[in-house]
Amino acid sequence: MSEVVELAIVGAGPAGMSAAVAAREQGVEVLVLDEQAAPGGQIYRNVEAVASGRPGAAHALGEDYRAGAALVRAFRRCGARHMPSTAVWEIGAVARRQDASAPFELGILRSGSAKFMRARCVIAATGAQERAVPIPGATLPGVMSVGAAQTLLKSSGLVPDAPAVIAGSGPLVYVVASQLLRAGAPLRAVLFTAAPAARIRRRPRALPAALAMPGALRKGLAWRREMARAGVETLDVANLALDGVDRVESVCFTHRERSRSMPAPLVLLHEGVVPSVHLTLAAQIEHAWDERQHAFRPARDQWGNTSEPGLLVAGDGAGILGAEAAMVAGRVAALEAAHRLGKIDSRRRDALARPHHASLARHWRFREFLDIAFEPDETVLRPSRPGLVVCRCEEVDVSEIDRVLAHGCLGPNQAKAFTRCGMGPCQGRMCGTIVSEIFAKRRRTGVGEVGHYRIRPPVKPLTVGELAALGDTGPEPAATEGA
Amino acid sequence: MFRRLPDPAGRIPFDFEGEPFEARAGDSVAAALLANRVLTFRTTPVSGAPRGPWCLIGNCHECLVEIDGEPNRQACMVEVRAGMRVRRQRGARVVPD
Repeated sequence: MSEVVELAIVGAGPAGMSAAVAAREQGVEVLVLDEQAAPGGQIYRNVEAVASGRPGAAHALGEDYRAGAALVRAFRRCGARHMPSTAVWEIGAVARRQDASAPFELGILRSGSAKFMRARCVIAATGAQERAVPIPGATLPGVMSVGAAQTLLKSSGLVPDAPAVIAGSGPLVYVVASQLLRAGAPLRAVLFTAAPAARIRRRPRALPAALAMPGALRKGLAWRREMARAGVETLDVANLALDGVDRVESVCFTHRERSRSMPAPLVLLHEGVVPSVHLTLAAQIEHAWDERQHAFRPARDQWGNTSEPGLLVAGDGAGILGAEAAMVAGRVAALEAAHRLGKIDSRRRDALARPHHASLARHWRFREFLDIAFEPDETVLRPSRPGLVVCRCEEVDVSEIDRVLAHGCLGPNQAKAFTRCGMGPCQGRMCGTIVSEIFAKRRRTGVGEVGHYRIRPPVKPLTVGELAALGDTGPEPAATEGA
Repeated sequence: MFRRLPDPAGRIPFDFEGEPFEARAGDSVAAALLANRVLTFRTTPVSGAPRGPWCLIGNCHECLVEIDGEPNRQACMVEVRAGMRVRRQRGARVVPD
């Protein structure tokens, strides 16, 4: 007999943790399922251990990161059940099939054992992932995402000890460059692929948007000064390509119309972040294409309600807005969940949420500035260079996608059948939006009309043995933390 | 490639491709390999090209290795344990008997 929780929250990042705290304040019974061993999400990964016992990493990662410890503390104390090291591989709506009082069935995997759990309400706080960067040589060992370098610093106190090259666009480039410098890592150069200053000049809406959050703007300028003070070479570049035989050896690019190259034993790439939508896509709720953020996200209202009543989304998984906003959105979704569960009436919900909605509006205004300033280049969004690998798992390149397009292939799902693109272990996490963008461009239609690969559960690796054991309900896995 | 900031975590012995390696408590298998200057974690099933981790947060599946005989494990999502036997995954995974 499987247990039913009032509210299941998927993800213990800023949105999931603050949703848990806010829901508990309204007397909701909460279970938080999270893939990591400790709460924090990607942004506050390992923050408890770092803040309490690793002064080197704590200093390098900075004040904004350490501030996450306060939210983790509030989360630990809020009375939510926390199930760490737990992957959620499906959110299924079963209302129409059987039990209206527990309409959601969550497929989970914990300590090598898969099972289903039931919830009356679900908040998916799945967070963000870095956009794939399809440039020549990007699959070489020694080429990682900027976020990966940051993850190594947070989780293991590891910093590059060879002169790394950082290349790309987006706030995280500045954040991580300054963190690595503070940790004493040698940086060979920081290469900017999006020429943010030129983009801001071309778009009149950018500057007023920037002023919506002057504090954030000042922070960005401080990171730039930090790079300048450290004497790191910073260049606006185009035509970025990586070279090497069994691992990356050099970076090639054009700067002011001239070709250049530099040795690079480690290259860190970044072209912004996009919502992690595999779990919500597999839940078959409606998704929309966000033109400004060049990404799919779940369609949702101002509370985080999706097309499936009782399934809510919050945080960057619902649209990229950053960690601070994710905390606010988590509270908003929790208030709506509390209302849906009959804990508070709509007037109380509205009154409690009013300042949060105002704060989110400010964040969205500022986000427009970031979306304009750091918009990835066309060559990253819709690569057209023949032979360039798009699907890393199955090694399907642009030419092959073009070939099936020329033969009348209808869309990304049919392209899977023809080429195997999107059918490898990552399930299209890396190539999904790229393939949709290529189809939209060649078919001269919108990416939303083209759509995303159909994503089916399980969205996390599950062995046949684990699947076969699903029928056994067995004892409830003990939640280790929380009251 | 990477060095450690001062870290109080305990040391953990594990084995990579039959060689003794050292990790720190709390490392993922991927972090432990990178700390030991391993960049190539696998070769691809299609062309045999060398690959290493890209995202380290469980999305890209580029860091697949064999752990204690079990193939297709995401090195970035598994915490290293004392005595673990880790091998590169060469080409397509082999399903154990």
